[in-house]
Amino acid sequence: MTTDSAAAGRAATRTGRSRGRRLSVQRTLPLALGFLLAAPAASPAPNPPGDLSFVRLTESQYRRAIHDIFGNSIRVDDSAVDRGAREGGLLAIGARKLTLSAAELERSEALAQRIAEQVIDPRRRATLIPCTPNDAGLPDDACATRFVARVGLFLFRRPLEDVEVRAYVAMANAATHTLDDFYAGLRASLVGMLVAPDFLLRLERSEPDPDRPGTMRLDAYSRAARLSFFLWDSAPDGGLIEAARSGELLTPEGLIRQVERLLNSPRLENGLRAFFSDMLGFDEFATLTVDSSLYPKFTKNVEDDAREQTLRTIVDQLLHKNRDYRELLVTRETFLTPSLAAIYGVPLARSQEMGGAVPWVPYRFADDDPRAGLLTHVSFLSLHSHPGTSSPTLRGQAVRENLLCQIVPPPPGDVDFSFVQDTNNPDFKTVRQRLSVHRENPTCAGCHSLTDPIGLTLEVFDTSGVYRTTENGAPIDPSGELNGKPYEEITGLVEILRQEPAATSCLINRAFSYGAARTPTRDERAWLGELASELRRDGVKWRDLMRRITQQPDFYTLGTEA
Amino acid sequence: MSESDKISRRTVLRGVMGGTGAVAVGLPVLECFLNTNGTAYAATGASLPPCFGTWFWGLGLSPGHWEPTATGVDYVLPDHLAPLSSIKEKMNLFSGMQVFLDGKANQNHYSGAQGQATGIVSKNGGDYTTSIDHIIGETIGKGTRFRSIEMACDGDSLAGWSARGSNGMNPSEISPLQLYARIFGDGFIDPRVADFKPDPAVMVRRSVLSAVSDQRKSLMATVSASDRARLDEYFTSLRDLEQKLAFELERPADLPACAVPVEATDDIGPLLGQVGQTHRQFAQLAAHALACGQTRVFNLTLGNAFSRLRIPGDPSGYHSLTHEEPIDTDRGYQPKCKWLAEQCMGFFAELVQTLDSIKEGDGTLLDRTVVFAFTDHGEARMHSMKRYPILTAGSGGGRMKTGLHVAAEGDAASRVGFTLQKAFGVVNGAWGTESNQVSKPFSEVLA
Amino acid sequence: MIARGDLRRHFVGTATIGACLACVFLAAAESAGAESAGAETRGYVIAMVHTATYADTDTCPMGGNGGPVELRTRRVMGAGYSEAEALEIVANEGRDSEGNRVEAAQLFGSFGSGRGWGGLEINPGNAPYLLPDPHIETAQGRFAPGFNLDGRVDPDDFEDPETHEKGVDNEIWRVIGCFDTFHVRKPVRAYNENITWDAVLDGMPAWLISVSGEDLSRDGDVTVTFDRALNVVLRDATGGLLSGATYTIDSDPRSHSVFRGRIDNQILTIEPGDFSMQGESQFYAILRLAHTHLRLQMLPDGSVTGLLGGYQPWSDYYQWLAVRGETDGQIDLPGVYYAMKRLADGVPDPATGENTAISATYWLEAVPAFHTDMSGGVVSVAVGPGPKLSGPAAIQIVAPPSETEAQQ
Repeated sequence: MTTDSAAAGRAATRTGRSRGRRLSVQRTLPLALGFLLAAPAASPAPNPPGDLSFVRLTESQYRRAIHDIFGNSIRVDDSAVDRGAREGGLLAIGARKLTLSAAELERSEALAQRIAEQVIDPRRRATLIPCTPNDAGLPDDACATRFVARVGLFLFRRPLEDVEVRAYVAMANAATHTLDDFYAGLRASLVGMLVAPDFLLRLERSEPDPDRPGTMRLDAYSRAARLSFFLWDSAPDGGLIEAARSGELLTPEGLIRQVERLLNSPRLENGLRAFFSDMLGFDEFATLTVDSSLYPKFTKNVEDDAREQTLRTIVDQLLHKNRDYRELLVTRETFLTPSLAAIYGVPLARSQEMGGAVPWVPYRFADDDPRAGLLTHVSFLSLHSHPGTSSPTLRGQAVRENLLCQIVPPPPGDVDFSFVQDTNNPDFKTVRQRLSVHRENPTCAGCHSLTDPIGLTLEVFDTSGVYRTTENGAPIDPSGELNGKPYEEITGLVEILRQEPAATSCLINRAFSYGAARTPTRDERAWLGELASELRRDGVKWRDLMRRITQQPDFYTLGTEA
Repeated sequence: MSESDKISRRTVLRGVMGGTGAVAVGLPVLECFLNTNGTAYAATGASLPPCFGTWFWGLGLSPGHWEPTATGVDYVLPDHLAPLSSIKEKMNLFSGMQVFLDGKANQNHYSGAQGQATGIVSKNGGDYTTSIDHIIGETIGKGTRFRSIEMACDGDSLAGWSARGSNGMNPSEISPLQLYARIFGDGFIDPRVADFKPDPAVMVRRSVLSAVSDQRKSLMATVSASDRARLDEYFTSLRDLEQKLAFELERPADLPACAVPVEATDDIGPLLGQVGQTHRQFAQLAAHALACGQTRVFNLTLGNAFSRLRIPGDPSGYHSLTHEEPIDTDRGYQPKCKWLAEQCMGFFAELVQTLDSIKEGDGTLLDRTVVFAFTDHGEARMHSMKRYPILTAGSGGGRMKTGLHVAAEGDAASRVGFTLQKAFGVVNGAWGTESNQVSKPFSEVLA
Repeated sequence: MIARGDLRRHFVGTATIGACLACVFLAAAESAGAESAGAETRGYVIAMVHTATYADTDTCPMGGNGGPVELRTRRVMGAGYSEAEALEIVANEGRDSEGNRVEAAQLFGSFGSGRGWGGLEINPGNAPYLLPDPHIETAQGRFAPGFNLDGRVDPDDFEDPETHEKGVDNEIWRVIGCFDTFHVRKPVRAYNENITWDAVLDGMPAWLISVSGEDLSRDGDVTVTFDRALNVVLRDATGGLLSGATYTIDSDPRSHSVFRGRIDNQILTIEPGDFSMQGESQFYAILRLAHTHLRLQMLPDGSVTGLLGGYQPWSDYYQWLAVRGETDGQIDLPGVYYAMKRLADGVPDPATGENTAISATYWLEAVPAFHTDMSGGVVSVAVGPGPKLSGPAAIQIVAPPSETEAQQ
């Protein structure tokens, strides 16, 4: 923490030509508050609705913010928010549609109590509380003010207004009076900050854009937050907040400097993991069930490891090796644990023993192994199956929707599958045979031709991800075609997928949507299409993609169509 | 009764409850606490408040096998509903009703439930808005510790149908253990505790919330139009939390049937046994929460509409079976599906019996509660929106008659929800939109 | 009464017996040659080992030695109580009417209790020879699983219930077969071994088998090697052993045994030799067999199941029973001790001529596994998906064998 809070507060009122109009919003805030405080019984201020929008914090962002600000020793033993709802293919977009329910806020406040209790713990006071009160049984304005301003700067991701600081100090003082304990007072005001919308919600404030009159843009602090949550999945650090405060972030050079700093940090991995967890639907791991009597190799270890395997592979390929995103669809390189190796059917020497941490061993599947790319990972295969049987349609749908951003319409209301599900019928031994009616019936064929060929090729992997060549004694036919291009088996499929333009544009659209927490406008889609063409030519590298998106001015808008 | 004759609560209870904490004792209502009819507090004369709950199960019943032929009170329960025979007199059954799509796409396993819970079917499944439990809760449920309690028995926190406003479903508790701690852990005040003193720590928490709410209300002035309702919801949630803490600062009401249940244990998952076990515990917790005045509204969801219910070792789960199990030509139904539907009905009966087992005066907790049971499809196999099985149980303190079968061919299923709202005194002339809008309740079930 | 000096030979006799076995072992190793570099080597990890039992109505014509209640009652009566008093004490969790823990005193020899055996404050497991021989009933009958180890068909030999091989030598079965806990037959396993195997499995380095040959799907000569692993087993979601896991072979020669073998009709057998595998206390601290025989069925799912037999130092077997103790082991230790001494039928001590080993047979199940050497190179390959239920997960609770279920 490099900024003195009081100086930050004063700095917010400093004028500068480029920030002239920004201040009008900044200034009205204290005025509005002043108005309310002066006449508490009056109805809300008669200002027209402003340009404040907000997005819910995710569990990982909440946790990381607490750890970044108060240190990793703080136990965050619950989630303040539920999983949320997916919209437009991303939880991030859904997060702008949801609010906090009473139950979530209740849980959040209880969690905040436990966090605040740890923060004021005597063993941490030396590092976390910047001053000592004169009398630990009495209020101490000066010390409380220092604490609130310093902690609030990072919790609220912007300097606090004076009136805000006073309010939280007042909370602390009141609590100190009631409980005869200064630190209990700090705890109370910290809980207040942790349940305040300024922390729990990512408030995004817009201001008129001086470079594009008639349009709005996010203010500097909102930009800092957007950048930080996008690239690091975390609240902005001191450097970003300072760049916002000084106005540097609003200049092209300043923005580039900050973006490069963020891209060069190991914390970039957190952002990458959070993005792909969202894009690949990994939140569904929360309710994943695989029948253990039918698939004994699918242990709890496998369930946990499967998710990590895929994310670790993505981090390694895109960040450490700086490879093209499309490689993820075909690469044989990955990381395995002993439990995963048994599912994949490959040997993996262990070096650790009882109590040791499970080692992640870099592994490359042999060239004749059918495992190539994300589609052959246990995470993908098990997430998009039924608990007791695999599902070509679910897997095909996941490829279309998650990787190609193509919408597969829901089935019509009155479908009857019963006659094709009799596996005792010799004509219906494999699921390919059973799903044949999808292709023959015109009502079904339209959508199922999108999903089934892909999924039927993936049938060589059962629900748990284990490779097989027969089903009910009949050989599995892994051939198929994607968008008119035929292939013999899985490696053919993933190679065609790799070359699909939709795979790249999907990633790019999703990345933009994720960072902005909204769907792109028509103009933005056009720009994203051009970006996709360029990157396809030059290489779809994660850092390049981040650079391009974060330097696009539209990224810092709320995207309302003009 | 003279003062000396009056049995003090302390005297009675010391022998029964050794200390604080989890004791599975359903204390009998002692006559000296109630008025002569046994239906009201002797102290205040106020009658025990009514309660409302919803109960959702996925994938309906076997169509054609659950509808009784006779209507009114003298109907015979078909075999398929045999699990309900022990509660027949205390429940109502509605048949023949449908949810109208009005030309919109059928969002499978969603639109039907949305229609019954909110009166509205939306275009693409989005914009799920205020549900019936909130509507009724506004009338009967204020001033309790929890505005309502949502629970899901299959491990999916997003399985429920309760929502306030248009900004997302209320998440459900999936862990009985956590819910137990939430209701009966810290913050629960036994109504019979001798010396009640408000906890200063709770006072501090409440005043902090109040201050934050006041301080940040100003945000409402700057929020954009599209986010206004959402932000308002946040403040409402904050207020609810304040209300909870305010409740914890007051001496709780005399509720003689209140007893802390046995501490819950967790075995969370979609297997039939797990769902049954979790449901049993949630039913207990809900009943005790009502009896102890912690809330008046609950939403208990057996599982999400797709129903992840399964039997271990069976490659097909319940949902797959509804689409893939052949219809037995002799019997005219899908055997495994019918069996699973009967298990669900057994769970409903268990909930109702749990409520009925808590004695309050001459009656039981069930007598002052109404539970509304609904499902996602009239025929899961075909995702049919017709011929929904709908149930209610309990009379809500005499507000509803029970023991009836109402056959309402072709009516909008939202008519049942509207009837319930009338029973609880919700002031609205109509409910629902488009063809699901209704304005005439079922007078035959209203008292 | 045997003098203490002699005891050491029986119970700590690794020097003598070990030396004996070692020389036999070395010879066997040399004759077997180095591990064969055949065209394929399949690896396995042992999922279950337990004494092979076969109980039917003919096994214990005198009614058997009973189970826990009977054993404990007799033990308490040994302290001088009447049968009625003893039953009461056993029913009262081993305490007399004053609450004294008389059963424990009997079992473990509590000091100062004044109760002991013949006035001696001893644990009967540690010094069984100090107690009189209770003459337990030994198992009779026609059938017992196993092998004809000595090549002769003697009157006291058995017939294998599955292969109907005659002349089967399985004297350990006689010793233990009339105790309730061992008086079972497949698919039921003796309770004691079931529990201990499952308990030690997670802490004990795994036991491995590898089979090398030209083409193991066809009949032919093979080499069969047993090794211990450096790793403990990995379990699957049912609690059985994970098929397809990888184990690193421990190069320690004390657990390395090599045999020439054959596959005929998917049945694997070996030429007799010495077997030695270090285990874990509570189970077998060491499993050693001389003149080892093996017969394993190679199943379509890639697992193997069958019998392992040979002459086992009876002190090894006694020791593992004694570690469990009489209550957990549900066995009469002095009774077993004397019976083993009497029925031991192999590897005579050159000095005394007394047999130091007893014929024994074990059921063995193993599932597919990869093996690597210490440098990480793959030396054996897992072939086949493995069974759905293996090892401890394959416990089946069934009704005890009925009277009419005589052997086919």
